[in-house]
Amino acid sequence: MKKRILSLVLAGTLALSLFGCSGGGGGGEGGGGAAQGMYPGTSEAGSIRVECSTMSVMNPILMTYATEFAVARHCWDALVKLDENNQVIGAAAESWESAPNAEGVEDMIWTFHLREGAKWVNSQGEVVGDVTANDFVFAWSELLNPNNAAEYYAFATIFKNAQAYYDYASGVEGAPEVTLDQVGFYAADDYTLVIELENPLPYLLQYLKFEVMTPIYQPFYEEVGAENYGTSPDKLLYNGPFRMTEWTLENSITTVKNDEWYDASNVSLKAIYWDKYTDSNTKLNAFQTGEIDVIDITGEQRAQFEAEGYPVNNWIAGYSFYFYCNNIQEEDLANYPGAKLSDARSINLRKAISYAVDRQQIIDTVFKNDNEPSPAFSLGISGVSAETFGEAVVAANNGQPLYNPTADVEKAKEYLALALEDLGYTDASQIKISLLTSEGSQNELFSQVVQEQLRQNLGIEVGIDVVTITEARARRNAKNYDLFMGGWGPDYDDPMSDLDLWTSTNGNNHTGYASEEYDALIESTKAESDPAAREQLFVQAELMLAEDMPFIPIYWRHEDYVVSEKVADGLIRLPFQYYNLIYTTLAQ
Amino acid sequence: MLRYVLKRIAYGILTLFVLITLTFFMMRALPGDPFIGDKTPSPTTLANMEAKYGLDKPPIVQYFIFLGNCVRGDLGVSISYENRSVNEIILSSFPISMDLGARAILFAMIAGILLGAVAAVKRGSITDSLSMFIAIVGVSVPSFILGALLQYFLAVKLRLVPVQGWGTFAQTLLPSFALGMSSLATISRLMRTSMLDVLSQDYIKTAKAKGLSQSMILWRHALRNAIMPVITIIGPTVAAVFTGSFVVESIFNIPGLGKYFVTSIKDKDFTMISGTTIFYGALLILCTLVVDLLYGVVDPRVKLED
Repeated sequence: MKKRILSLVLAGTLALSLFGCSGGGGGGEGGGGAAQGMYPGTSEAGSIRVECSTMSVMNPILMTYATEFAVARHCWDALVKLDENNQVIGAAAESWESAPNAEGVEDMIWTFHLREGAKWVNSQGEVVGDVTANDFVFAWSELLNPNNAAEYYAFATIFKNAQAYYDYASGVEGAPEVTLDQVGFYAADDYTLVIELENPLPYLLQYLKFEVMTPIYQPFYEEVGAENYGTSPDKLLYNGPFRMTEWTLENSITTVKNDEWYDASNVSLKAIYWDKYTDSNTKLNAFQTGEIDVIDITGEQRAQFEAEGYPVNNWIAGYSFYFYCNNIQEEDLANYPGAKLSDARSINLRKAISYAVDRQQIIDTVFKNDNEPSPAFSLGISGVSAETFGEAVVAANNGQPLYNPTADVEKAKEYLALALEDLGYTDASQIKISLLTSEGSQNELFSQVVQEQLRQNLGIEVGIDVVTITEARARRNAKNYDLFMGGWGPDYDDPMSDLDLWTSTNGNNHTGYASEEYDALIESTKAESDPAAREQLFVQAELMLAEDMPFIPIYWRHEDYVVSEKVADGLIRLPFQYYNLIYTTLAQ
Repeated sequence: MLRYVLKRIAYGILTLFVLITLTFFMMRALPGDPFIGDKTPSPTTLANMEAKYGLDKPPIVQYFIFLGNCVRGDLGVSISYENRSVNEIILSSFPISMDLGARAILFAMIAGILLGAVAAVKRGSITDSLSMFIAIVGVSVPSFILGALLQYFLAVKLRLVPVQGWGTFAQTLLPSFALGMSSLATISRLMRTSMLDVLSQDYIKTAKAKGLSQSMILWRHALRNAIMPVITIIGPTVAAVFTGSFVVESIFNIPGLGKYFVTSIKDKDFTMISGTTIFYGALLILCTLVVDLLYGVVDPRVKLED
């Protein structure tokens, strides 16, 4: 009997396998008919699918990635937001005014008048409550709550006493007692929010538009619990143009139009799908077969689209890439446990390297796209005397870039000779520099190109040290490196967001560069109220960085992307707005 | 039998304990800090983050807390996916990996046994060469190449199936095939060898001499005996398919568990590393046990004794 059953099972499996094979060849439902255009896009009416990489955290106060903020921008309204030209406009707040504080300093107290009738909805679209001033007070209190360990808590330290409160609440030794009601924000009534600043802040509104500054509905937050808030769409409430209905971790988020939003009548998209792809070929294939509407592309993929005559779009997120250089001098080494005494401590060697690298060649070889050789450090910031801050810097340098786009071998060798003197070497072969490189074929190719350029143009042998990204970061922070490729993107539209990085106390300045003069220059911008004069101070800071060269700027990143023919208009990608699809319209 | 099972379970728990301990200390030896990204949090925030995850306590205290949580089945809260429990992440993503793995194994088993058996019966024929050619391709072409090729030709060029995703039957075809191919190759080669061996046995000759039909001999006598080695490798195959699904999952954008197993190490997400390692470890131990028990069921000559 047993044998018969087994035979039947086997016969069954054999039959199944035949069926399975034919199924494999003939089945399928993803096939598209003959398309009219080249890439007509996804088939679902009224919706678009866009590529969005990291979407690990959806509790607004805990987010850290530009891609997470992109989704957040569509789900929540902060007090203000950026429009299609990156100008600040009202969002949850309809109007605002400023007043001097008790000491008579202008623009220190701000009153925001909230839009009445704005609603909180859940993932189902049901109205749960009204958006009031207390929702901001509560959200900012949670941002400053040490138990949440929010990385972007610093955004809430612009308020009076907020840093002192955070330190006290975190149990920092010696921190004087400060209570939450002493922190500079309160609700005067349901629709009036008053804030008092710690220091004058010319770019306050740029801060307040930041997605970690969005409100939270306290009763709901307390009902689900801080530890669960934002772990799934039904554990969040929404006050923005869209609401989240589905979230498959590491894969996809679905947001659908929020009919309760104040300007819902002007939103034409019914849904936005945010899809994550880990494989760039799969992504390209999915675009070609109409499974996604917007994807970022590589230099090679861009060449393919251009060869087909399909339009390629380009945008700047604001990322500036540069080599961190280890500046630690011999006499300071004892202050940095684990740090390395590097040959890069010679300013002349850093300049020799900067002149010896061919930035354009790096871009042409490694990226094959519109990345630009950095003319200055700061990118993506609006200017006062020119359209962008970067242009103002170049103008101040007689129209010349601060850093050469192609190699200048002669100058490089001049500086190399000085560097040998600095370091007490007799021959260039004694210089020991290595490029700390995190794993990844593009990173490794990048380092190889630089290695070859330095070999040819300077005659020095540079090593390449490939390690995991976490180890690279650990070594960067410990200053146990010579040169390490890093990137920086600004958080808000003001040169401070970039240039503050190189002050001696900034936790992200991993070079050991500590210039009292530079610190003072950055500090002086805080007291300057005239925008044009303030910009000039920042220009001076850029010039000082080029002179001291604590780091070596290499390129400004541009991103290429393609959009399917389904999208008609209103797809916005700008610095600080990774995506703005609120008013995107579709071709009919 | 019961005693055997209990003993095996006890060994399994001991193995898991060793695995948990090794994982705990080895992952702490990884260089780097999970909280330091491109940007570095302030020292106060770093301290708050460490406190939130209990990493401010001495390692040995952390170890015993971790061990206690493991006993209760609590794998902790992920660092990368802030506030999400590892249990929840595994519960939502593993069923997808299992579904994919099951399809791949089913395909590999059915097609592999069939190919191997046919190749043995028709030894030296074109069918034999063809089936062994498939086996060699399956073993030597890695799943990411096979996956990419299938995707390009069947999805992009011929538009027969979707490029990526998970949910519809059509979406399962390419990944199951890509993931199952190397197991198919192993199974078919093993099946062929084993079948050839069985076919030369005396009892097959006896069956022939008794006048049994060819199909009866093959179905009733040859296949059943030849299949034993295949069953032996089911355990390791299941484990290999489940843990090796990372590449296929990323090519076909499938929200399975494979990704977390790999990326958590890169991100130094302690709780995800330990959670996925322990989970896969337990799965592997369980698979081996089930296969050993199955062995006794299929072949009555095998006695499960201590």
